[in-house]
Amino acid sequence: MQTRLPRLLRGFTTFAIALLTVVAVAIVVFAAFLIGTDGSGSAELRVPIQFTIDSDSYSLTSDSWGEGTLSSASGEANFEDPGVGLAVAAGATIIAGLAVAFVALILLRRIFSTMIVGTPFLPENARRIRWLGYMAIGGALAEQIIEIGLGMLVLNSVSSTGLEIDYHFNLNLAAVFVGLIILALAEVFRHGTSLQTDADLTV
Amino acid sequence: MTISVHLDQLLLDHKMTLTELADRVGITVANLSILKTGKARAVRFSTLEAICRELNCQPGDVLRFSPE
Repeated sequence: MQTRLPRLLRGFTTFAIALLTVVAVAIVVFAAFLIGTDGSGSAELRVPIQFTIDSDSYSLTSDSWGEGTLSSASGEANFEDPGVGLAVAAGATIIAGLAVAFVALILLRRIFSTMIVGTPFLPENARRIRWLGYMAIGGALAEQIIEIGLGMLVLNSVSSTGLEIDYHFNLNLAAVFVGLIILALAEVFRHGTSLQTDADLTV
Repeated sequence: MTISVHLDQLLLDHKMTLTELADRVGITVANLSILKTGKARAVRFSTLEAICRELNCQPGDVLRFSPE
């Protein structure tokens, strides 16, 4: 079996795992720094909510982190500081996302390792591929649910007049589709594993 | 399993070891061991033919069907 490509891909996943570890550590340290500086640090937090503005001209002003005013011809929305709860929820979401990515990369690395030694058709690999499919679909759904949850937290601290503000609903259909393809491949792989066992036990 | 393999008795009758038969038949000892212990899922005609030739027997002497 040609092992150059699996070796390359395994090397890539090893690098990605190392990079992800560094990023996760940096996030934890950065969060600790922000807490340690008593909120005087600066950070960007993307809020998943949706505005409907029926005017071409609008302005967004902000005096401090987490606060601001959105003004347009049809009305105005005031954002109060949503508090530390939102930051903690968003941070936990990022950590959870990194953890899922970490597990997915480890599963991929193990699959490539079996390819290098020439025995990819193993029941474990079929199971690993199936889990990758579940992760892709579950990740897309979880992302949407979490965004709605964060949006609810933010909307609690918004008061608006004349402007329509709602949750941002945008399910990542591409990720769901990719997940379904991975699940189909896992089933094909499971059948391949069965054929491999038959071949191994044919004398 | 209702099909049983009787390589043990045949080897004993011919005073032949598993390694020797594997060598003569041209398959690995590991594969012949799989056949001997009844773990095999399938047997190639070519393997059966070679075993019968070396042990001077019929396929029915190697494999037996016993209804459960």
